[in-house]
Amino acid sequence: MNLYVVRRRLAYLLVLGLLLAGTQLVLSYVSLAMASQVYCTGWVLLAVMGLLVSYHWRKKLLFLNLGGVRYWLRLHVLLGGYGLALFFFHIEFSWPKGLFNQLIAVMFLLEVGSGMMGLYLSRSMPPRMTWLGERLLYEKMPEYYQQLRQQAEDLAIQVAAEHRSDTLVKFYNRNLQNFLQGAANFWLHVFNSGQVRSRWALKFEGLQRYLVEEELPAVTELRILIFRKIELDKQYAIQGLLRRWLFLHIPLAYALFVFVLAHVMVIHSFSGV
Amino acid sequence: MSDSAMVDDRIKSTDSPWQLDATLLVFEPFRTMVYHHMQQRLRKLRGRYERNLTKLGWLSKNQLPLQPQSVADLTQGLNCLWQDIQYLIHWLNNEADNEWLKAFLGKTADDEAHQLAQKELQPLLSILLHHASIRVMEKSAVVVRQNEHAGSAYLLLAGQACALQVKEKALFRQRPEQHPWYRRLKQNLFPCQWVERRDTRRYDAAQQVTVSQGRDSYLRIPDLAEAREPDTPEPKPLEAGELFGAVAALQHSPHYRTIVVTSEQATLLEVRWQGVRQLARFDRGFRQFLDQQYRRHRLPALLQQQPILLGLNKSQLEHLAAIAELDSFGTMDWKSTTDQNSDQRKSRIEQSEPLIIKEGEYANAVIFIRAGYARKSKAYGHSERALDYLRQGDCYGFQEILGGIQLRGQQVSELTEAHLPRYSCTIRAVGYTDIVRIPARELEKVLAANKQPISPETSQPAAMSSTVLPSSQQHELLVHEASDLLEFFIDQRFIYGTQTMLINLDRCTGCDDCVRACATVHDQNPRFIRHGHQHGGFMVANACMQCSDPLCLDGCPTGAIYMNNAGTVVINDDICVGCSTCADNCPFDNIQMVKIVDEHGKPVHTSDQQGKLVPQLKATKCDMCTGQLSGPACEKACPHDALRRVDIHQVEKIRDWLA
Ligand code: SF4
Ligand code: SF4
Ligand code: SF4
Repeated sequence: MNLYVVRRRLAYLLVLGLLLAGTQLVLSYVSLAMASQVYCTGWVLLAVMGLLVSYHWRKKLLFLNLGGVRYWLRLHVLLGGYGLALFFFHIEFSWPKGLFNQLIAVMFLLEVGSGMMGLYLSRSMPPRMTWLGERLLYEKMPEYYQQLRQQAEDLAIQVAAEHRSDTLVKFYNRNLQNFLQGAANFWLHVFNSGQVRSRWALKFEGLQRYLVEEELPAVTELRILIFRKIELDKQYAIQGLLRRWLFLHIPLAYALFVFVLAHVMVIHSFSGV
Repeated sequence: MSDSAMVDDRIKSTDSPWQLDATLLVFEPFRTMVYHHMQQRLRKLRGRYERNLTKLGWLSKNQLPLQPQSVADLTQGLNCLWQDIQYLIHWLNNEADNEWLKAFLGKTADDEAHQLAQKELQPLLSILLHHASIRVMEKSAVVVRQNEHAGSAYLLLAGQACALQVKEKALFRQRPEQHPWYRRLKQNLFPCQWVERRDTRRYDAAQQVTVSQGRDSYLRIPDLAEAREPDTPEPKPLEAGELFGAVAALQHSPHYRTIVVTSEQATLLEVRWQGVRQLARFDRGFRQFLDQQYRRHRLPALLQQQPILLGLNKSQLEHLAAIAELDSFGTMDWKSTTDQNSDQRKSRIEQSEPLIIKEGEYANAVIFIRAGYARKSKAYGHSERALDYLRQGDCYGFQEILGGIQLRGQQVSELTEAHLPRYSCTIRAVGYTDIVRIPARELEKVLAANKQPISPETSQPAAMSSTVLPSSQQHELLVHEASDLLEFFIDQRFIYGTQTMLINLDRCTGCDDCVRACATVHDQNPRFIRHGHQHGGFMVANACMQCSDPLCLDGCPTGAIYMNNAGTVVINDDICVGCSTCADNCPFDNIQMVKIVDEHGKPVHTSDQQGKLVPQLKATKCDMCTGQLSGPACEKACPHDALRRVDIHQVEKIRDWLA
């Protein structure tokens, strides 16, 4: 981690710490004034959630000259952390009562959790992809799969015709055909497991016992194709994951917002404020 | 932009050696070239000619050795060939592009002398065949536009034209108007369902003034009086036989004036800039003529911009311009390669990048880059390592020569050649490179004669102070560690870019926010592809880099694509006729031709030269979101700071950002 990143992270923590200290100060003042702390944290939390949602709109309304989205993301992350702390203040560090409130709490924690996961993924996954070779466009990956499949199939058939032996073709049908159909081993690749590669290396070693010398170059070629496919699977898995977490984070955010508004209305109508 | 510059930039009929012969009006410049060329060749290859000519029976043995008279006879014979060409032109009546030349080259002549001469003329003919074409334009057609990067020189064959300054509006070069905020809000929130939809009513005005004939299209200025910029010199008439824009084309620099056809019809020979360069190489006379023009009108301006020459007066600059040597290296041909080892790399560099200065040679001159780019490198291992690159206006050698000597308290004039310091770097041409070389002693004399004498203690020359240190030298100190990056940028020619789109792959999550943002502001069709050359942890995306010397501008028939004041290459959609010239010219494939639809989503059609109905194409490219308030949307939209538009010259900044 370079100095710049360390400094930036420290700055984040400092700002967050200041915010929390400020909040604590305000809250102690509020309790002295005999007002409700829960009300206070609730409204601030709602405002923070509004700001968190505004990040999504900032991305949509790019024509506004309000600074780059990268600054807004930093703010979003910072407010996310602050929101989480406020949430604990709001529930006064005890699990809420009532099904509806519990549902909101679960949703909130899920939302924050998914955000943190997204942050982690978007920081840790791109460097992993950098060293997988050419960065491919996600939408074009089916095409690459198709090309690889075709190349492997042609190779197996060519060897069978040249050497009048069907060992390689049988191997292809039994092992490779399905594997080359499309993306595979999503979770193994997400967790950066080396298992897939080793498994295939073993299979190829086993195959070599049954082949004649002349067939070996073709096997090497095939092995290269399979390893390329594995790299492709890795990219596909990582890119897929980087897209999919948003399908949890964004709808949940809007659902949460609606629920929170309902929560506010319920509180108001029953508290007589 | 002096008035006289334009006049001298073309060749007047009264200027020798371009005096035009009334009967051979059209090709006299080339005839002169042929004449010179043949004489040169004959001198060189006298022996071979003598053998051949004897064999052909043109000369009997007793006429040998070849006498000047025989040379004159031969030249006479060649002139007859040119008459043939001219007959062919009339006969073909410019029907098909360059058909006449093809016909000429393919002509089967019984006469072997004819073939021999033809062989000798092959280089000239092939230059014309590849780089020249006949253009016929009607009255009020715009031949070249002021401030337009010169892609071609023109020889007015028949008809009349005039040179003048016109309003930018007449050339359809207004700034794209800023949409009101509510329009942009709508564009952002409710994007149009049609891709590449155009308001076709906008084209009405443009259609009145564009003549659409594929690559032979042109723009017209029907009312010259109204279009003329007020308070500018009177239009200068140009007569048949005048060549204009050749110096600008050679330098690939902007034209000074707009040239408009004033007769009912004009015929012009258009020679593309590559052709002008080759013609200058083919014919020394032509080269000298162009150099002389350059020396007189453009070189003092180049020298004046140099930090090391600040404070010199006009006559001193003119003196330096007069004694400067002009030189050209390299060609435009280039293909990207990856070297596996140092030997391969060395031989590729040696073959494709001609040497301008060799490290360790006696430093006896300062060079300035007048056009193109150069690699500055130092020997490293078995090969050379790039330290920097030089572009138009940069200089090299001053530090070594004057700086080094004066630090030791000596003057250049006190030293013998063998005691001169040596160049510390190698300079090679990347693509084509034109340089100006000023001998060290002359430079020192001029600087010494200037008010501030050069002495080590008191007034160091400008180059000695860090504030005015030539950018390339400051650069060298900073980029030493970034040479791997530089090598990549130079090898792939990304050094042309001033707003190159770099994507840091260690940060890019592939969210495509950048692509979507671009599509939102550009008719639902992104102007770049998030894919491209990859090098280590970054990628140069397929997006227009806004080159400092944009090749895409060459040959746009209506001037729809141009460089605006901010240095951004933009396309005026209204007058783009969809000829694809720009897309073909961009070496980085960063221009896409798209089919457009009207307000109701219906495809728009136009008729081609045969009258057939074809989809209307328009050229599209990244325009840095010109007309948007907030700058390039791609950079704005990236949440992870993974995308930046960078000037490759600031390589150290790039390195820091990538780290
Ligand atoms: S379109 Fe191509 S040549 Fe023109 S400025 Fe862009 S990258 Fe350069
Ligand atoms: S912008 Fe390109 S396509 Fe359009 S007229 Fe000019 S050269 Fe042709
Ligand atoms: S917006 Fe940034 S992170 Fe997303 S795809 Fe573009 S460059 Fe990559």
